[in-house]
Amino acid sequence: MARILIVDDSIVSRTNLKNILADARHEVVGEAVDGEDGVAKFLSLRPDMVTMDITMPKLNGIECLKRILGHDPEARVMMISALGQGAKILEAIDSGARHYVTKPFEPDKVIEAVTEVLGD
Amino acid sequence: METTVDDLDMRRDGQPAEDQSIGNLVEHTRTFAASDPGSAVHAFFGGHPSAEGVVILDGQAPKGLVMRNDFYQKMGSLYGRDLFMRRPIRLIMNARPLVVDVSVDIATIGLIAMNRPHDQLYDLVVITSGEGYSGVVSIKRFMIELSRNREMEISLLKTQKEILREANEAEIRNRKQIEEKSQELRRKNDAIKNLMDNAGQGFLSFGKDLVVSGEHSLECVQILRVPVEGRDFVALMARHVSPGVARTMAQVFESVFASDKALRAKVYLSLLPPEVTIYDRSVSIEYKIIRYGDQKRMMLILTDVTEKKKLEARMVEERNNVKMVAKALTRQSDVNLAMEELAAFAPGDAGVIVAAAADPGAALAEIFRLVHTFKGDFAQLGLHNTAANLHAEEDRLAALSARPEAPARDELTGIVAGWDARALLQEDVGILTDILGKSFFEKDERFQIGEEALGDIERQVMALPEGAERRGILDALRRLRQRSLKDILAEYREYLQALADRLGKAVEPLRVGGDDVFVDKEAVQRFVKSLVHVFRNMIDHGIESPEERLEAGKREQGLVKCKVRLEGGEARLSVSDDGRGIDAAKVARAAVAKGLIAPGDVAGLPLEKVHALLFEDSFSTKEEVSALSGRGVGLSAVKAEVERLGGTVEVASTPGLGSKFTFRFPLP
Repeated sequence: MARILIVDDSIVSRTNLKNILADARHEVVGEAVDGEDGVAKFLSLRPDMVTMDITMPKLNGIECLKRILGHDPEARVMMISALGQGAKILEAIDSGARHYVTKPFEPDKVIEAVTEVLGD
Repeated sequence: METTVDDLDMRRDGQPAEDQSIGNLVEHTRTFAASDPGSAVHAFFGGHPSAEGVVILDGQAPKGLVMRNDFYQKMGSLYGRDLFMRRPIRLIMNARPLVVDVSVDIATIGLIAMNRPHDQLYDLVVITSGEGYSGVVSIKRFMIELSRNREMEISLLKTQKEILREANEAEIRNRKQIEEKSQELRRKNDAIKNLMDNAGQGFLSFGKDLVVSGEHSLECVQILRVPVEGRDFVALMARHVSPGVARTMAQVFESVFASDKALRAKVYLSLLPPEVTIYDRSVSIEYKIIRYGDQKRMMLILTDVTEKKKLEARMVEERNNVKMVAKALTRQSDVNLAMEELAAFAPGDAGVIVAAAADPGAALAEIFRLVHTFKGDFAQLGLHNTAANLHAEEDRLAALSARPEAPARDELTGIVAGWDARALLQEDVGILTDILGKSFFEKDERFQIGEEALGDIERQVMALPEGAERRGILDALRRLRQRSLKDILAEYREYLQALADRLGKAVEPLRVGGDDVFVDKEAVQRFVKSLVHVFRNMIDHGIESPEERLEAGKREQGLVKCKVRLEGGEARLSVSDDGRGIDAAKVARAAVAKGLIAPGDVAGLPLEKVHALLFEDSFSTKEEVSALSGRGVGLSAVKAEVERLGGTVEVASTPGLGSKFTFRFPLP
């Protein structure tokens, strides 16, 4: 069981993820609704890992990822992306994201990725 | 390289080593388009007896090969001539000939050519230069060339002893070289074999510099059509993928070689394209990291999955067809109705809407809505091809309404006039006709599918993945086996008329009324058949002759009626006539005569008991046994059948006014 922070501006996406993670007995310790909120909640909650949407208002997912890694280079961040965002994902992985999953979610794939990130 | 002859040439003339490309062996043969008829190729072969084969092109790109021998073999087969002469040549071409770029060296081409299936061993090798067709290499010429060189060598040896000795020595040296080389090759081959579990897959590997090593399988060259050894892999792929994907590939490989972390490398690799289209073939690519000691290399496995994908697509299509047929079958009238409506709409009604609307924008909106509704209806009915065709039309309309300026009426009229309901429906109608027959679309006739065809469709539906959808289709198919009891009974109409004619009776057409009670046709079949005895008795014994009826003040024509009712899960069927009724005294007499009852019991026998006698085995009231209903097994058989269904039968009769048989049986 891990403490996980969800950063995503879509409530549907957050709820979906939360259910998938809860089914796998992970604890969602917080939900951030944009990039700035994400950095703030990361610093206050210190989760074991973060799921990070890419397209978000205020601060996009890649910028948010970079800031979080600026505070904690070991932070485990997994990107959440829509299909066809290959270049963005590549940029995020280059920037230090540990993994990614694509929407729409396949629960098994999400959990597999989360497990891999936690074991990394 | 490995060829002795070339080495000798080089020494003899003091010329630099000739390039090992196939260039000087390339010949030109006639090319045809894939759509050209077989007869064109036939004419060419006829006029060019030495032509070994022809190449089929699509623009500049080679699409196939037709070898003379194969061609005549196919033409020579039963019906081959009729089948192929007028049809496009692509139907009989070899769609996957050996195609290599002119830059591939002779030795490699020879190896690949000799690795071909036995029946294609001597086929022409198609040579491309860049993207386009360049020519062919004949295996025959390939061989002649080899032997000519050998002849030259022999004459040389004959006239010049010195050279002969030298040549011999050279030959020995070369043999040694060849031996060494082939040993090396064997070692390489063994190494490759270890890598390759499956034939027909391309294996190649490269290191940080992305340069493909010599240890690759021949299939790589066959897939990519150019030599791969020593080439930059991303550059090789660049012509087959978009610039963005090529960039991603370069970035990913760089990062994979730079990263030590397993997860990181895995995540990077997942960003690579799993499938690439190379010369119209779908090629799947697997990416693996392999390690030689501390050296890291990428190993790629290229597999041509075109056929597999086609097969999968066909399976999906077949499944959809099964679903469509099953759905259409259970909703035949809806399908026919929707088709009629579409036929009226496109282009007729739609044209009227466009012409009548004050504002073309409003007409467009209305037409768009209707097309959208039709699309939904046909999708609901499982006619996916029609739905897809309507979807395409909807897209056209959407594009029109997305434009900032209002649509011109002419344009809209043009689009609508171009519609043809038959064309929109064509594919689905074709599939349905193939499986269910033309009568499916004949609305006046009650469509009936044969038990065998229905069972066949049911079995195919059973092969679909389990789930709500399959259950729904199966239920609907099972209901197809059910029919309204009224419809089944109505089938007696003609029989009754014919029977009355034969017996000199006049009857009105059989009347069938009441509720629609659906029953399993199979289950009630025997019972319904046994009812023939009831009808026979009614016509034969119940209905009087026309004269008798007129005398009794009745209509000349007798009447037989069936009435079906649903009563609390039970079917109640009454069959009645307006004849003379059952003569109880006569029945009793006959029973005594047959020894069914004692003479003393006749007086005081209740009417039900008398009627019950009718259903006794071997009972017949007619003094002489009539050809039709006098054999005395009739009514007992009816009783047995209704009891087999778990039901009962009762008789009521009023002398002079008629009789009535009432059957009750539970519905499953």
